[in-house]
Amino acid sequence: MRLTYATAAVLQALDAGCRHGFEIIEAVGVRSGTVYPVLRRLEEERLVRSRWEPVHEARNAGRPPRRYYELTAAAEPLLERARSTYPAERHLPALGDARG
Amino acid sequence: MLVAERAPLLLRLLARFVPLSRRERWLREWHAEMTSANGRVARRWLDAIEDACRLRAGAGILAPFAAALRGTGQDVRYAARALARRPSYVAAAVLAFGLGIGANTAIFSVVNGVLLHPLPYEDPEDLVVIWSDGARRGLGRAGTPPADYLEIRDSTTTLSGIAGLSNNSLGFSERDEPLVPLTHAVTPNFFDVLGVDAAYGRTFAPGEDAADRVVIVSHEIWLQALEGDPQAVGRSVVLDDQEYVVIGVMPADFYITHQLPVQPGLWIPTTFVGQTGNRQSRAMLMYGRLAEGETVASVTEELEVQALAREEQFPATHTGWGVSVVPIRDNAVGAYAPVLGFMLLAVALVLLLACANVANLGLGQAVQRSSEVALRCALGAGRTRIVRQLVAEGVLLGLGGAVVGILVGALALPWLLRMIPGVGGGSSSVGGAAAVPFLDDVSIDTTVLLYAIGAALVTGMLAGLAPTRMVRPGALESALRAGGRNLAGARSTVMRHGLVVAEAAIAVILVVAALTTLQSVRELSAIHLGYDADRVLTVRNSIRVGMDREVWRTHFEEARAAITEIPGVQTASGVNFVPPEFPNSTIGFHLADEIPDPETAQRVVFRLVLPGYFETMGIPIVDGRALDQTDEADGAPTVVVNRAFQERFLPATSSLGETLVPDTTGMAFPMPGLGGVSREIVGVVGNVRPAGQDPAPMPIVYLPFL
Repeated sequence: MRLTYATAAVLQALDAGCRHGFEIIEAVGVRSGTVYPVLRRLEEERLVRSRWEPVHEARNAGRPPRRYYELTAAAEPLLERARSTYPAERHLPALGDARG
Repeated sequence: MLVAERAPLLLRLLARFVPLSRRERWLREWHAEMTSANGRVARRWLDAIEDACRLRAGAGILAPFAAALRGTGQDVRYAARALARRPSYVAAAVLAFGLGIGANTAIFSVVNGVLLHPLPYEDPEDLVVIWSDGARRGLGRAGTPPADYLEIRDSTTTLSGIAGLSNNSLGFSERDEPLVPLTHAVTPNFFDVLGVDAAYGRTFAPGEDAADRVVIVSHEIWLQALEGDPQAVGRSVVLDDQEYVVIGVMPADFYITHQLPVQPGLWIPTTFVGQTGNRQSRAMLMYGRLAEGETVASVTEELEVQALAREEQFPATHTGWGVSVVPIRDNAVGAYAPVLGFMLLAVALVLLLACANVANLGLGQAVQRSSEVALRCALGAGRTRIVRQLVAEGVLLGLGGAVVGILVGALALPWLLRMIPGVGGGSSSVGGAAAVPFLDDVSIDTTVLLYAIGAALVTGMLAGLAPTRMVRPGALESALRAGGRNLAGARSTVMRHGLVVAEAAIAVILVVAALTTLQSVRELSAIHLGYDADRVLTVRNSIRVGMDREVWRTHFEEARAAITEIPGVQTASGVNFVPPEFPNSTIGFHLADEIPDPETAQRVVFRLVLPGYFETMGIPIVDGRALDQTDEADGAPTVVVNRAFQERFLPATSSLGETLVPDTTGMAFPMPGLGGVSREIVGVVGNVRPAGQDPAPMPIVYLPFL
């Protein structure tokens, strides 16, 4: 799979613990119009899997169920390439906030 | 919060862009994201729009637009900071915009209040008023003979309903305070055709006629004559010494459009069934509702074919009478559309001028700001971003101008309204005939505010776009190399010159339009109306048809004497219609040497006058004498004609001494003693110009009123 800046940023954000769409967008500072297509492509390549938050958890939090994304084991080689090509400290300025 | 609350519905609408296979998941995901978005809601929405656009095959082209909206807040903040550093520029630009938008706000308030005034009918765009068109006879518009109405009603296929209305002088007999209603006799289906129901009680039932002695009153009459009694339906009122039962009270906002300004109204039913042979009177006006799929043109076509057939069938009464079908809104306020449209165009040009001024100021600023812009570009700001920020500055200036403009408009509006005839109803003045309706309702409402803000946004954007020319590729690098001195170079100069030329052109157009208008006003004031309206005051008075003529005589003589006694009053007189009011109420006549025949009688506009009328109105006596006290009922029957009458009917001779015999057949209210008597022409007076677009003098006969 071609490794663009956006793909690298999304991979690193997921690795850093970001789990749903906006969390990733906030963390990487890339537009949603870029992030969501990247997530979809990664999921089609089985590098990312998604699951829906259990309804009761969402209800306790007073919102609809979120869709959570996580990296699969198959994503590891690509993640390594991302780390070396686009170091996180340069490109994920808001990562600390997203983790919090 | 508000947006978040509406999220599900808006999201569902947006989700329609997303292919069906992904829609459900997309909707759930974005719903969750929106709901947990703490703040920055607007940005979330832009994200959702962009994402939906990208997923939609073919709609991807829209995504950049959605993306372009992102960062707007930042642009606006930056623009505000940039403007705050240049207060004198801001003041000049806001003032220029303010004056332009102010003028637009004031004029549009009048357009909105008069031309766009809501009509109190169901689907008013389907309603038409049908006039007889006397243009080919040298007459204006008139009503339709009752016999024609009955035929049209039974034969039309282009109208789903057609109602008739005629003037009636019915009024209150037993009241201590004067209350002069505008009374109309209407066909029972009149209110059904308009699609209006009574606020209390009912409207007329099919077949109800004048003999049923029922009346529907307007809201105003209900308040004044029936004390606003909610139980008024079923109560009796005395009209012309007859008892009538009130069966309905119309809603407060109801009015009929053919006689404006709105006046207190009474409606009685009439079926015109007794008038199947009446082809002379043109005192009845038809209101119609278009049948499904029909248009004003198709109704006109159908009725014109019928009118042509009647011309052949009844040449004496119908020759030269065509049909004019007018949408009800045009009938009410259409006459004011050209002048208001012209004024709106003029103030739009003023706003364009202001816009060009601000653009020019902006270009001047651009020269000073070139290094700032070059530096921002060097630091990575894209061309689009700079352009957006400059446009945002223009929009902010425009919105500032809107605030000032709305204030200016609010201050100018009362002054503007005072210059237009018609405020306060005007039903008792000469001006009433030409008064613009609904001026009392003109205000700066939501529509006007939206218009002002819309105008501000558009002109602000236009003005903001002008300096963006300096952000062209290549210019920035050269500006940096030259330390910013080069940025607003030759191109900018060309543009500034272009703007100056445009400003001059618009200014010339405005000056020419203003001069042309002034010239028209001068020419209009040079036209001799045929009477001298200066220092003439009028008061309206109503008499009952059923009253005894002796009572009239006493009433008007006393009134005239009392008015003459008022200090400062030189003369006083009376007439049934004061110029320039020119209703086409006509009377038939034949000259003494002609054989009397109601079918072939000529018809002519007539006026009933009290002694001293020509002197009071300043209408010159061309030949002979005026009507005076001796011409009243006791004296020999006399009449005065105008010069147009003489030229048309008695061109070869002096009219004096000739006799004519009025024929009151077909008149709505034939007055006793007027018709069937030979009257000697004792005087010829000057022509009086009627109001209207073609104020050609009409032949008139003046008959003694008493």
